[in-house]
Amino acid sequence: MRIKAIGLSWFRGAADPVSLELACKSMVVYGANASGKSSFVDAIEYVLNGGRISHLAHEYSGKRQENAVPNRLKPHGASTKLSIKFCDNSEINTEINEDGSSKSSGVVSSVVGVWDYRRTVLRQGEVVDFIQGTKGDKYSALLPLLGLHPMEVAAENLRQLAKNIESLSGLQQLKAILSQAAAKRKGAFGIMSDKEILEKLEGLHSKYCADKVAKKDALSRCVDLAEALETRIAQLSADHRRYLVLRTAGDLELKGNVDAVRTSSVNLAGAADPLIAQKLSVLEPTEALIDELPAEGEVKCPACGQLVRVDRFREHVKLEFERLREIRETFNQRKVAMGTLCDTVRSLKLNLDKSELKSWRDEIANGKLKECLAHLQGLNADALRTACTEKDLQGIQDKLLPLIDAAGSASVEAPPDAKRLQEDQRVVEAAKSTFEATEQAVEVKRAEALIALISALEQATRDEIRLRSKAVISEISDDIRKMWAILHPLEAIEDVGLYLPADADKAIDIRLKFYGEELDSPRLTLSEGYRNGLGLCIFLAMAKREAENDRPVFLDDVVVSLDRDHRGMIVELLEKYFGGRQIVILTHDRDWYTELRQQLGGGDWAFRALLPYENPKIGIRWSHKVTTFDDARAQLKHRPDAAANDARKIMDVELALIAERLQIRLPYLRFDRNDRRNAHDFLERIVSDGRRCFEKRTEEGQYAIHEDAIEALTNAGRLLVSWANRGSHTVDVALPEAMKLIDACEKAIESFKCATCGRGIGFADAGGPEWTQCQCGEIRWRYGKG
Amino acid sequence: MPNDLDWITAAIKKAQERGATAPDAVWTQVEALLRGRLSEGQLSVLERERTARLLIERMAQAPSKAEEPQ
Repeated sequence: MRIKAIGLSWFRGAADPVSLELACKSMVVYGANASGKSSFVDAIEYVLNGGRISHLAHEYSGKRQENAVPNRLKPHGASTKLSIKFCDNSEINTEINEDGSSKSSGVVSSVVGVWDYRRTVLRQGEVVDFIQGTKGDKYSALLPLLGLHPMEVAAENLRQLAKNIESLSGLQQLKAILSQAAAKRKGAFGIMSDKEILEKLEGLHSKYCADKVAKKDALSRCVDLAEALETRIAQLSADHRRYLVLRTAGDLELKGNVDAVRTSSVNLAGAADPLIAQKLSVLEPTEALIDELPAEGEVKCPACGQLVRVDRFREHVKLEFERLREIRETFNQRKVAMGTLCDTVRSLKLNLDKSELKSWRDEIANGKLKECLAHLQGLNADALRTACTEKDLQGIQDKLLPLIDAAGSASVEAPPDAKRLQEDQRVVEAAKSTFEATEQAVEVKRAEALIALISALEQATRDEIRLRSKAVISEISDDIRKMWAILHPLEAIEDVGLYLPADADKAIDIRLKFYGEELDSPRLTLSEGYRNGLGLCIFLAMAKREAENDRPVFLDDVVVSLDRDHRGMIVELLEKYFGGRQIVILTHDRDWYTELRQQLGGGDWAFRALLPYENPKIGIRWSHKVTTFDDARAQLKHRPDAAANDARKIMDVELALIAERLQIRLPYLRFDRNDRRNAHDFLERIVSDGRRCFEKRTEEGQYAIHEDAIEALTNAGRLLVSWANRGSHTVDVALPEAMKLIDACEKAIESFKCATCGRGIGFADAGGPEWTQCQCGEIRWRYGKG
Repeated sequence: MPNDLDWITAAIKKAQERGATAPDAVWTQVEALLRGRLSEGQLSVLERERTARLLIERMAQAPSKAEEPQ
């Protein structure tokens, strides 16, 4: 969508309404420094960036830039407004309030958030921003062009999804249960396989459940066996039952359990539970944060507070995670150990409380184990599952182990049959826990498979992003290379392009060959001028990718550090790659403006010049002419000599370009004097050749020498010699003289422009290669016949 | 702009090549989720939790690879 006009009212440098009338064409706008040309670009940025102008983002401009956006001398009651009119007759109108807030109407939604400022406007101060930005900045700048944002979002969603699945499936808890079951199995069956355990169960089933139908399901067999063994034990004599209870208590692995808790506590090495929880809660968002970090620079680790480089920070977060995972593993082991200890203490309590042991209890209650029994009675076994201090462990060791030893000693004489029943009962319990764990193992496997699946999908999505980024970046790099080759033909800097660094995600960098040597960054060697040229190529290559959208491109004083040779190639570059786009070039370089007028004059390009700025109350003003003689006129009042000198300088450039276009042959001068000819040299030859070559169509349709033009040129030449040179070397030029000189110069230049069609004399060939003419043929020039 | 369906299919194929195995029922769920929702925008916390639960349920209901009819 092309722009028809940009209107400003008390916005930035503007006072009363002023409009940049583009009329949907490309345009070169000339304006001396501070004439207000960038105010039009500011208006575009203000609209595209939601009321923010980046070069005004500083502490003095105010929260909403209210101290900088409106003209500071805006009279009371006047409004700060801007409007952008598009070629389809739609428009955006914005009014900015005193406090900096604004209200927009019109087709805001089809522009704001759709047009990317970074691919619409390039300002002088932004030319090298891309080159000097971090790898992450470059990636962010290119991301919208890659068109991969939805994939980035999908990858992030998958990452979060995997984490949710881990927590919702209770994976860690299930693993802890499995670990307990594995320990039980090892204790009861050693390295026996499932098949061997089943065979053992089968044997026991035949022995104790001969009256029952053998069930295939292992767990059901365990249930049958447990019931049968319980019944048999209940049928034993009271004495035998007492022995068994004591034996059960005596066999408890309490010491081993206490040791396990102690070992795991030592392994935790002071890493307390709250600390783990706190670190994990900080690290989890940090993991998401590192995706958003730039590729370079420093960042403060939110988990530990250290200042670290971004690349090291990523590594640091990874290591922190690894470390915490290890701690969490140890933490889980400790939890398992505490759970086992709790179960053992409960079992001890349960067994020693049994009625069968009443007489035994009474006996020890009167002896030296009285305190031990009291300690057991007062102990809250369940509390040990969540918290177990060294004091608790010491108490268990000192008070409960003697009880177990006493029970063990008292059960030594248990009859073999009863012992057998009890051993078989333990085997059945261990088998039951083993087969129950099989189901939990399936759940763990499922959760792990699901997490692996989602993680693999995330990785595959990230691979796909990388692959596609490479393809797009390769296309943009090709354009950068081609554009660079136009600006810098036959120079020793080549293969300029973007690449994805292998060692970082979400990062893009620039590389090039410098005298045959590959360099990782243009910042290593390129001069300021070359960096600017490269910055321009990168911007244009990115803007070109949106060519199908036909959005305008604004180039605001971007060639300031390019020399004349390189600057001159920009037109070729724009014509080749942006032929169909609306380009707005704003420049304070009068010579370049004049060159562009000569090179691009006609066709889709228009030219406007701003008057020098006087004061904020007068604001931005347009010159009525496309030439820059108004710059000279602006100095008439105070510095007529400078005005005359300016007129001469304008003529130096204008006439050199005209002479080149008209193929005027000038005598060869020694060395670089050829490049330092002045207006008078050109005028002398143009007038001399013009008497034979410069023709105008008569009323009869014939051509005759264009006498008016010859006279204007001669007059300008005469005044340049007498007054302009005086203006250059002395200050002895009076105001009327300077005024007359400027008018004469302007008239001389205007004589090459057709009064009928408005085109210059070099606009078109006229009936063969010998002649060049304006568009309508009213005036023409015969090449090479001087 | 790359074709979304293409990249989702490519991503699933790549995940399978990496050895990410899951019953077909879960693949179908994940694929539907990717096509329908993931690419539209960031899922909310609740939505992600709901999706995770849904996948866990489907995984539990689906026969394991060994149990699937050949």
